[in-house]
Amino acid sequence: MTPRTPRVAVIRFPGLNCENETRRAVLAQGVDADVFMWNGPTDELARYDAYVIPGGFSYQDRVRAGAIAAKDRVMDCIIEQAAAGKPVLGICNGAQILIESGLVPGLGDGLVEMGLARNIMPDRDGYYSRWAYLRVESAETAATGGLAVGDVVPVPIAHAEGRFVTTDPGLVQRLRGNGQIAFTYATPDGTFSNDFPWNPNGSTAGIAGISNPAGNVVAMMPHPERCSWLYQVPETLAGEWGRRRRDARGDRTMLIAPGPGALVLRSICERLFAPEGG
Amino acid sequence: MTEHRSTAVRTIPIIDVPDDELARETAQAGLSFTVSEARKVADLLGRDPTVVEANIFNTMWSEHCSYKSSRAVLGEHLPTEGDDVVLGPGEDAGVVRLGEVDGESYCVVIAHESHNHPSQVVPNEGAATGIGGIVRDVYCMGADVIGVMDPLRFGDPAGEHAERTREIIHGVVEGIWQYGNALGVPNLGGDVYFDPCFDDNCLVNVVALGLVREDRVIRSRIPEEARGKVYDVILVGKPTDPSGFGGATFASRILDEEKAFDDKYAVQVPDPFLKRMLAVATQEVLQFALDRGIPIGFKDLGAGGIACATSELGAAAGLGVSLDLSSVHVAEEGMLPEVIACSETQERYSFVVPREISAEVCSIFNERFELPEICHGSKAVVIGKVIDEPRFVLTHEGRVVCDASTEQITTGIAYDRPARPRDRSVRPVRIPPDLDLGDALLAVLGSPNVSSREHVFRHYDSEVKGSTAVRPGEADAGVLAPIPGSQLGVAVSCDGIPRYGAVDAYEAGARAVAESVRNVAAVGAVPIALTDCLNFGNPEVPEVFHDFVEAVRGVGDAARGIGLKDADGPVPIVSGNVSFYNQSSTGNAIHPSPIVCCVGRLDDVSKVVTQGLKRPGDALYVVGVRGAALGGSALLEAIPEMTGDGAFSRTDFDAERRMYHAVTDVIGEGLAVACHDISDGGLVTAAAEMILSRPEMTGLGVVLDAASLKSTPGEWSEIAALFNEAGGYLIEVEPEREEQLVEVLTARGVWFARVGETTAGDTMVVRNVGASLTTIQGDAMRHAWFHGARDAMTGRTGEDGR
Amino acid sequence: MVQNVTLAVRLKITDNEAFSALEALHAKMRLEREVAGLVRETLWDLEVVAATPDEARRIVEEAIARTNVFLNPNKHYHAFAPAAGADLDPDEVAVIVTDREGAESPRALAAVARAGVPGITAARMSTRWRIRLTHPPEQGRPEALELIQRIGVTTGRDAGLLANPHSQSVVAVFPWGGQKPLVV
Repeated sequence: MTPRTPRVAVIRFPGLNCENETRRAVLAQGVDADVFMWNGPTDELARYDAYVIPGGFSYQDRVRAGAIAAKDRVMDCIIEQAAAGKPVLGICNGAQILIESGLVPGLGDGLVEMGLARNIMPDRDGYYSRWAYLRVESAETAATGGLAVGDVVPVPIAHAEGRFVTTDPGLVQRLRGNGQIAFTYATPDGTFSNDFPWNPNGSTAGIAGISNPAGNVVAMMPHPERCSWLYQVPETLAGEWGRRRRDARGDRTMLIAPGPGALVLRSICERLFAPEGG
Repeated sequence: MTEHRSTAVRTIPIIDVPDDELARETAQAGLSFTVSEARKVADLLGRDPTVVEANIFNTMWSEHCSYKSSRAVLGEHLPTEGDDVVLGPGEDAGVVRLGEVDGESYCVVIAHESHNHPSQVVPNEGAATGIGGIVRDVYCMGADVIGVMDPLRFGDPAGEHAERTREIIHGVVEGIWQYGNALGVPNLGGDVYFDPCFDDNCLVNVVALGLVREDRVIRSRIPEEARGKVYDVILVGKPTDPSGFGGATFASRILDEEKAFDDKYAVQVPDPFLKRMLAVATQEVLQFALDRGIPIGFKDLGAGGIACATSELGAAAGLGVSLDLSSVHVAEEGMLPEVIACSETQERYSFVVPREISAEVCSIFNERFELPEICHGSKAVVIGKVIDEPRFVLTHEGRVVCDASTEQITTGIAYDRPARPRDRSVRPVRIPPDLDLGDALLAVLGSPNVSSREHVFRHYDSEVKGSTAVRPGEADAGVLAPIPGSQLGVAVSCDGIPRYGAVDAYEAGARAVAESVRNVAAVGAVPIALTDCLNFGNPEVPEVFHDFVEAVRGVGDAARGIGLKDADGPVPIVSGNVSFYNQSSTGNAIHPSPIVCCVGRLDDVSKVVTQGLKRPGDALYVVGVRGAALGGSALLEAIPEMTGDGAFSRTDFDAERRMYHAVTDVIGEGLAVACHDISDGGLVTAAAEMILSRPEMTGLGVVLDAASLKSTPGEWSEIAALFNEAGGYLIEVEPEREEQLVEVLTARGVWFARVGETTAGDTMVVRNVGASLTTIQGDAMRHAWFHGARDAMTGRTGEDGR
Repeated sequence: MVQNVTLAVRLKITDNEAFSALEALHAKMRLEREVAGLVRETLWDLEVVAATPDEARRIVEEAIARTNVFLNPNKHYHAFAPAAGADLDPDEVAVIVTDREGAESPRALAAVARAGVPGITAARMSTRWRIRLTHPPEQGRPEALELIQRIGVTTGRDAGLLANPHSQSVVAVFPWGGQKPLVV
């Protein structure tokens, strides 16, 4: 029997604005992907194999980024499917929704254990867009399964509230111990750094992305769908990926080769093909 | 005025009223008509207008809507046609062919507007609604918006009004990011300039780019098929409120600081979230109609609100509409019919569809996208129908409050304004004899008008939609690859240097075109279309109007003189906007400020080059002869000891044409690894920027040989040649490709020279036949360049915050 | 002397933020029977150097009229809020939510100074949610506090909406003039 192609649902909440390119970047990993409306039938949604909540401004960031969408009916379904082990990735506003819904870090059952607070940056405020150099801290999460600890993955950030915070003094240590910190911000050579602009928003412990204890649910502020092909990568980037981009100039096939973000999405999608996955 | 629930329909008495009384009355009624304009309304109608009619004419005949001062000048001087122009000026946005993909013709849709007055009064909302308005113009052509750009002009951030200027800058930039980022449209930057002439009138221009298949372009007109059939008019979006009532007339008069408080009422309330939902839902509506082969009409509501949009939909088709204003969904009780008809409430569109699909269209908005649930009061409703006779009929609470021919309403009004040249005394520019090259370069690099714009553009989301190939700060133009799976690229740049507006309006227009073309060519794209936004003072002042005419001539001559590459003919100007009255009540008028946007095509986006240096040991070539004139230059502005306002380098259309042909050949053949246009601050500044444009990779520098720039024998100034702002390019080329490069440049007949080499030094070294040798350290250049504009805009100084 | 003035600013037009929050409380957190309405206000806690409270309010009114930072009179109503919720109706309680970092607004102070209004020395922004209850709260009983906790402090998907305690502090305010920090 030929296994069917895995299907990924990219959730469209009102106000999200990255659903189309996120779907394209997921499709490029050899799976099927649909944009799924927030008010669509949940029995249909439950039949997908993985879920991505993309970036944007769900419900206009009313009350707080991610706060309203976290309570949405469609999240009941996603939480159920996550409990069954299906991968769930939240990108940017998607990460804010996952944090506000208590899915990540998810140490206490359904507890909201963190917040994504306003960026703190020297001499500026508000929104900040920049390519960040992510260091892989754990290869145990769905988003990093195809990567190794210490790998440097440049991925752009673009947000005004991306600072992971918690009032629980021991939480970060526990996350680290559990391998739940997927990515931290780093310098171009992969050295952890809390200095601006390497840590672009003042995030606690330089956290850029975290998972739940099982690793199948990942919330990350950077946007892997914006660097899924080499043509999306800046020539000015330091390190290996910048060099690859510069070397690819004038070469059509090279420019549509996978970019660093594809490694993240591929990690998720490869799980769907794994024999024990299902 | 009478109460709105009176039994009679209120009118504005004109016919039997003497002039002085009429002037008083119209002013009292909130109309900005002149007496002769009021009489013309009564003449057209053959009776006194109703209050609703008077308000409609008042809006339609405002400078903002009617171009009554500018239309004739634009028509005379600007080339607007071309083989690839699908729709030129006159529609909401211009449409020009980009290229074919899989047998389908794709077009770029471009619109360019100003939102100057509102941004001065309420910077955040003003700038935000600027984006909101321009993207509507592109969406309503059936296109998806693929990018925006914001050319911004602010007052002197270190001048007399520094604090206010900084508040305006912060508010404008915040308004842009809050709206554009939430809407989900990449912002490709634009440009920023500062000058005291903008202290009382900031300029907030905005360009929106869209993509549409040629067979899916939607015209802002009732479809021909509606004749003799039952077609409904649907209004969708935010409930109509009184916000922005009188907005068009507000934009058409001089700003009075004292009245600024009242003017806040004329600024609309932006809602990017609703705009996003409308855009997504509209795509489904358009697809729904397309799948069934049903032609529909679609138009955005901008200046003049419901009245303007629906009367124009009718007039364009020679048909009429009959609307019931009582069925319009409104935000508050008891709104007057003229307010419902003319309010400029944001985030609204109108559709004209056959009645059999009206319910389905409304349900896409109201049920599938749950508009009323996610934005309180927003929805799609049928507000009237198409009528065969070309009349515009509005009823309110059962009474007819407007009954005029659509032609009368939409036929404009024109003025022939007097023009008179200004007296300008020209003093020669003197270079202080002891001016040190290194000090001069650092002063220019650190000046607010030259230094890095990173502080601004890092507020913008420039990568949403995933199609951005070149971001702000990486090259002279932003580049998109907007069609998934295709190598077709779109490059875009906005330009216009206020310093040249201060010196010569014609040159300002010509230079804006030349520079925008150069910027697009510097990434390897060939220009396919231009747009212009012409920002000026009060056109009733003959000197201002003369400047306007000169600038338009400059734009037109440059568009013709530079021309297309692959075909004969001018680069067509497919869309544009005129913004007059950028003058405060104290008489402070802006410099003539024509701002031009160029859109270019890249057949193969993989060949795009950026401006940052790539490696040591490469050769640097200059294309474009260096002059000696420094009038209007960034050097003159940056060095207080330099005086004069004399001769400047005039834009040479023929040279610009040859140069851009040569440079796009060079890039197309893969011979360049970096390219940057020469503009503000001249060649030496361009070279420094090529070092500085790779902030995370220090350790590359250049050695320049100034003597190589000497093109004619005789007296010669190294400083003048290095800082001269004649148009040109700097190209980095690998040594093994130099020979080929020289062949291409020679074949195109451009002036060029091998001006230097890249080094591993993180320094700039300038040699002049061994006589002088200046070394400028990378760190010093970086510090000046990263801090100049940022510190000026924030009023802070610090060592970090790159 | 320094007077503390609290300015409450509310939208004249529909507040979609309060609309969505109420919808979430009703439909998603099943509080239809407890919560009747919700109004959102921006609170500005200002320190004003002035001889009397009246003088301080006059200074703030002048700052409002001469700058854009606090409100736009065409879009907003404003009122001076007495301390500890004395302006609440008997059936209202309130939750004041303040970001732990970034609530101070040096930009507002700079704008006020630029406009030539002297005396305002500190400005801090919060959000006050006025929650209209179906049953007026009773002083001395725990139900109102428990309900505010359920609405205000987000600890899980079904518990709390208006503040995330990891990044925001929360104060409950009662119509009888009491207030109680829920999360510091």
